[in-house]
Amino acid sequence: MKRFSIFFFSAVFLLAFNNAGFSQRLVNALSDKQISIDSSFAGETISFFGNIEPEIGEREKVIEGTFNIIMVITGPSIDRVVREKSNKFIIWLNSNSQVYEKFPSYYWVLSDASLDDITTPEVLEEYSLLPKHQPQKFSKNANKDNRFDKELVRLMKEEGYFGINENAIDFHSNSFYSGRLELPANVPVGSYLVQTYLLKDGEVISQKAQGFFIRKTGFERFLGNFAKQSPLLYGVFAVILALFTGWLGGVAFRR
Amino acid sequence: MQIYLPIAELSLNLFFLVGIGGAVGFLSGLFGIGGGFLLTPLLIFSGIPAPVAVASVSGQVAAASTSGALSYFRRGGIDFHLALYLVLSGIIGAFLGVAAFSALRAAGHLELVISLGYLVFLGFIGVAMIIESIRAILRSRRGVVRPAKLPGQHNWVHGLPLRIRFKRSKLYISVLPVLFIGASIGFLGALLGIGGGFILVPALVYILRVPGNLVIGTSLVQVIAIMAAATILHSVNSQSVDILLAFCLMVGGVIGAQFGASAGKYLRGEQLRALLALLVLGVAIRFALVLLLEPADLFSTAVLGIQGLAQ
Repeated sequence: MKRFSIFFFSAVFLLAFNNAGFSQRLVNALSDKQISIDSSFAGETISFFGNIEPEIGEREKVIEGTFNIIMVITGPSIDRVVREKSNKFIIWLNSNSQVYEKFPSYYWVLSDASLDDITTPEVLEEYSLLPKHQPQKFSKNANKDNRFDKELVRLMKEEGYFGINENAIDFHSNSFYSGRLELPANVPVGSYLVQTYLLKDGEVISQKAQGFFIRKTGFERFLGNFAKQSPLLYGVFAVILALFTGWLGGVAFRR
Repeated sequence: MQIYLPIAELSLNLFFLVGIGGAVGFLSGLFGIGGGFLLTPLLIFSGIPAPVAVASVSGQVAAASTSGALSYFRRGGIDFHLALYLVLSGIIGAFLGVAAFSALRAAGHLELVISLGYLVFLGFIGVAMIIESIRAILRSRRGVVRPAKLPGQHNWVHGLPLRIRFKRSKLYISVLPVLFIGASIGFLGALLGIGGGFILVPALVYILRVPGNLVIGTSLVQVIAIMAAATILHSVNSQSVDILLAFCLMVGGVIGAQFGASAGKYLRGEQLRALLALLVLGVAIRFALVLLLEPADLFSTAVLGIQGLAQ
């Protein structure tokens, strides 16, 4: 995995990325293009590497000044509902709800320093960087209730799906940085987007996107696909397995 | 050792899963019950989504009931004629139960109905059982010998039309109550993730008057059939059966049941029933608290539609 990352890192170096209008650009790579979930999966740390370089054609060969990096990792989107319980006829039941269509299942913001120090709330708002900015983009209801937005972000944070880590990125030199993200065991599977923002004096001066993929492998992938693609056969198989296990238990112990 | 459950999409400790399977299996061996009514809530309380818990426990109950049914089969303790009627009506009931399950899940009321269902049925059965066993214990203390109920005794239910003769059970009764009981258990079993043995056995004894030596074996056949049907229907309808989860529970359950059955020999029948009644009431109270107390968090979030993101 690490061998792979070094290879990938150098490969990206060669592919020039042209951000016209900016005098700096980002060159970056990540440790795993694909993360596999198998039966022993209990979370994993994924690493990002990057370098800030002068734009091709620029006169200066070195970059100057202090930079900050913000990375936003967005997971696959899925329709989600938030429900509120209220007390009716002495029991507590779900009453009001609000639907969020194509809502990110995972959203983490990484940075190399406190976001308040790096930039201003206006910039964060403009790029919709924070978890709390997400619900406004995806709510479906016409007469929406803003309370649900706040609660949704809180619930997602409590589950570990949303969050901010302000110490996740380290600068190893003026220009070379690395970041790491700890993926929990219950991480949603699917394609992920890593959006890297380069900031100088609080302003975004360059950005770059890359992706990675989380998928089940081996037996887990087989079972997951089996369940979705041929559900009837899967159910029959589950029953045969149950009957066989029960029979085996009965024979082995013979009460 | 963590094990990743591919349908539930989370990791749980393997020993924890086999352990609760074993503990519930122990109780099921001890009391002669399937244990679904304990296992489903335990899984829900340990963080497994309710739909996955209900659907996967169906598979586990089918496995646990198979080894029990086998030993009754060897002793000739099954009335297959009666079981056929129960099974056919049970499968129809399971169809309706799974349809209700999907509709409630879409409406966001599945958890509520599961909690209410557990509360009502476990509360009712638990109270009835505890009264019955306290009476039995008091009677045996006083040394009163209670006349055994004769299987031949009839009540108004037997007089309904469409009477059929069940030779093994020595019954000549209307088929309507049989079909009604079978379908109700199938519906509840599929909806709540329980085998329904603890409702079916009293129904067979008190309503149909099936002889004691045939009751458990016959009810186990019905439980296997509706749990098998529910497993397949849940797989097709919502893809919420986690084979890996069910298998861990089965292994623990089958082993635990053997120890439970041996331990059961050291306890007297009334004591056993009183303990089971307390257990049933305990679970009912747990659900009552969920419904009646103000939840710590008024808000909850769930994924809409059939679960599962892109592979």
